[in-house]
Amino acid sequence: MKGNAALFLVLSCLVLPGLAGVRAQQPGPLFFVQPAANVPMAASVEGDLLEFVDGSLLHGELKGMDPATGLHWENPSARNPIDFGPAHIDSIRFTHAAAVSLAPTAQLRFVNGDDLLGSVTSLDDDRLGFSTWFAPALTFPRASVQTITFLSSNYIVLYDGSGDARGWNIGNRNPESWSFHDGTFSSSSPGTLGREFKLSGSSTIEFDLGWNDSFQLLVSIYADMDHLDSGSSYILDFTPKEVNLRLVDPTRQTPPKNYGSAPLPNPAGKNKVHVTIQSNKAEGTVAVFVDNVLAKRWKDENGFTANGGGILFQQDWMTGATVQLSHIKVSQWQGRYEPETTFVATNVDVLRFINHDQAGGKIAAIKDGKLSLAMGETLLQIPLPRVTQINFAASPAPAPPRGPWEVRARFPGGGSLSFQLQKWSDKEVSGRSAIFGSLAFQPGQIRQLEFNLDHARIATPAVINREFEGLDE
Amino acid sequence: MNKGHCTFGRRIIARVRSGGGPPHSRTLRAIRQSFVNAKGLVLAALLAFSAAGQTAPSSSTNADALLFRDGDLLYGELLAIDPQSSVRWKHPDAAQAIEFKPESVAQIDFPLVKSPGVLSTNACRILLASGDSLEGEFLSCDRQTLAVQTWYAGRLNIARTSLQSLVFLRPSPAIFDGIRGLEGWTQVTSAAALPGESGQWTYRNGAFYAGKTSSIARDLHLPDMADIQFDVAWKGVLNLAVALYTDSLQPVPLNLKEQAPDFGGFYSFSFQSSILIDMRAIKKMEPLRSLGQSILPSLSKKERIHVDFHVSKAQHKISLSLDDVLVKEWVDPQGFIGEGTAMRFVQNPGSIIKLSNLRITRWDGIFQEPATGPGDVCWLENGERIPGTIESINAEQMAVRTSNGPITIPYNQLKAVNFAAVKPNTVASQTANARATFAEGGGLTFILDSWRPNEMVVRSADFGKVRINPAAFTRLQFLSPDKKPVPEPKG
Repeated sequence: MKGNAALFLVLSCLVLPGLAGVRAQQPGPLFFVQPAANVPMAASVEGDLLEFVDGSLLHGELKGMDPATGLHWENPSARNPIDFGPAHIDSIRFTHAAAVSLAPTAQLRFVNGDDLLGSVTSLDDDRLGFSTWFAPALTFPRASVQTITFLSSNYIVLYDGSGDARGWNIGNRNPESWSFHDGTFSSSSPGTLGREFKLSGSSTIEFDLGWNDSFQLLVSIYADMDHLDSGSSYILDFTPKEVNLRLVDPTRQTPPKNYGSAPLPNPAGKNKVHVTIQSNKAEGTVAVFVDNVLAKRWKDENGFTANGGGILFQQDWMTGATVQLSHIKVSQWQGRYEPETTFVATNVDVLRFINHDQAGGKIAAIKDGKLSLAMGETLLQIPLPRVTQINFAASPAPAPPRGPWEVRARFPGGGSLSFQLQKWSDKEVSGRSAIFGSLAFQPGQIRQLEFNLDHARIATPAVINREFEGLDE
Repeated sequence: MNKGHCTFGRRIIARVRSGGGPPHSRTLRAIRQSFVNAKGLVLAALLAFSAAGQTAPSSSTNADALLFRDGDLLYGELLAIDPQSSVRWKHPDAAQAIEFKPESVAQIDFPLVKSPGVLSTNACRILLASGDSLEGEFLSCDRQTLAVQTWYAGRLNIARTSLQSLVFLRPSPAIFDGIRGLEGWTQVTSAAALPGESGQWTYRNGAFYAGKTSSIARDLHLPDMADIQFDVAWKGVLNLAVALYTDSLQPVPLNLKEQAPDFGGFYSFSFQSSILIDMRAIKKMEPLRSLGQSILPSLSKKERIHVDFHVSKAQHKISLSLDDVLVKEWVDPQGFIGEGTAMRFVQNPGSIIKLSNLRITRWDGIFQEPATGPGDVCWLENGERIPGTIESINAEQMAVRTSNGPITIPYNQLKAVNFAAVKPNTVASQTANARATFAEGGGLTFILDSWRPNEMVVRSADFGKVRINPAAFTRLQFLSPDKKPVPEPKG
């Protein structure tokens, strides 16, 4: 690719801002479980995880990899390192991927499924200019991009976790309450899992939520982790069927204010969904999306009154259900509009605006903070701050076949790139991308490496949980 | 095989099925969960539990499965075991055989292979004092040794002091043997199900699966004296209703039964909330009659049970055994009200469920009490119980010394024997390093000297050093070096 040969960046100092530990927590008045000592979670010590498409999984350490010799894996149960071919590998999850601090203004979603966080620098008929954490001046074919999402102002990723459990605190620990394993928090009995994020502005909280039976999960947002019994917070009450919002403010000596419930949009009956909670302080709203579909947006007419900075997950009920949380991501932003979490596939370019209007046409260029949109004979000049998302017309070109060593790297903080792997050593990961040309990273910059990208990952059905009278006999 | 042939002698059949039946590689993730949980960790892939109708990864369907003590899992092919040095494993993506440390391996599961054993008039099941059990062809028994011929290890001579019981498995042609598909079964949407909550049973690999409210029924021509067995596995809260001796293939909503299409009386066993079993007599235009409940808190800890009903219409009696332990006997004081010969399984909300190994045979109708006392106890085919000391058993007769003097009993009249209680050999159990599970249930504990694809060499405190065809087993568990029990697999 023109101008993009041999990109290489060493990120030597990546830290998460302001993630101090929290003091002992006391459940607030809505919590059924009894107060108990807080126990900081230890980081997982089981090493990286190699998963196969048939369900096999081996912990250990990746010692090296290249197409000629295969994947060199060291497993503590094996007498010698094992060399695997890529044919049936699903992914490698790296426990100790470096944390990253990002302040992007845009997210690119590529036609091939990749995505990147950074800033758009230019756009013309053929190429798009982009600055991202591993390369400040990328240009690549516009046709490779499906969507540009312009992020809210001062957007910053506070946490992109599940790499390990450091910084999280468990209340009411018992053998089956929250534990961490292979990137997932799990709980099979009542207990709390909390963390201070020092949330101050609006926020986007995302996580994958899985369950195997009827459950109740309370998610307290903007909770005062130091004073759970006195600080106000919004509590989202999730069950497999619905979500409810209420405000708890112990200082007012009044019952929690209930804003109502909404069905969980899960028509396929899955037992694992991606949850996005958008808290818009300027608008005084809290919105819940399930798999990018809006469940409900609640508005607090008194304004956004929660005053803490933490997040607390609490599994309730003694149902025996196991609840799982993974891919937890917390970002913060300012302004009145939320980051778009959905996109559309169209045969023309489509713009979305901050007032939620849409416009279709042909995007001619982005230059000097303005976007040129051709609508018939008219060329509109639109200030970029008014645009929240660009969906490019879908390309009719079929995707080229993937080779056995085409992998997708997922990065801490968000973003993923697929490329033809050339070599993985303890110093450098190198490969070649059809979009960017040659690439190189440090191994510690990659959280997960996926193989067999066209392999369908197994989804599981939900367990029925509704009880009713008159059981059949 | 005529498994768990009768309820008589809880002592005889208890633990015969310890392990919960043959394992299956598709459940290995759930098994892995038990190992991981045992360490206080939780498996990230729990939700990939497959009993809900998930298609097993194709490459694992016929593969061996290696489960490590740390919860890792690897499909492939076992090449060899040398317990002092390595477990050699072939993986399709690895160019070289992989050598694992034996101390890291918890168990290996093998695909189910149909047993070549032929059931004859000499077929028997032997339960050892150690809790092990095996099946074979009975040869002889004297005061020192019981000899049995097996297809997988040839002749085994078992010390008499190792024996707990002997059950003769007389051939009994099955009226129904195994779920083969949906054909012949009737599925009906439950009238009680809320919109969107009803589903269908699906068939796969000899089992029915259901995740939503659904009913499946068939006229199985239940005889007047019946032994009805099946396996149930579930995830979630068990909520299953089983109708016996019904003439209706339609589910009957209890609160609307008078409005339902005509049906004859039947018995309903309701497995509710994983702890309660209720037997009810249900008839149109008559009030529901509960014939008694049984609370089994231990059931809530399980995810799989072997269910065994014994029915005697003449005695108005139905007994239920779970995992070969008698739970309850019900007697209907109003006479047997079942008017049909069909069975119906109704899955109610709360779990994902799997039904398999449904087998129905005629039963001889003997309800016996368990043996007590220090001596041997013999049961005959006619239900007679004879305490005494067994001198010998051969193909012709059994010689017993009773309090009234010695007697002989024709071999073909023998039903079972409980041997005088002996103290289990704890030393032997502490030196054993492996336990293998038979495909038909039961298993052996031994010192494993070596494993090769065609032969494993073991040393048993009960029958000495033998060479065994590995095809006999579906699971090989490595006992913990510290002798702490390995978590019981759920598969």
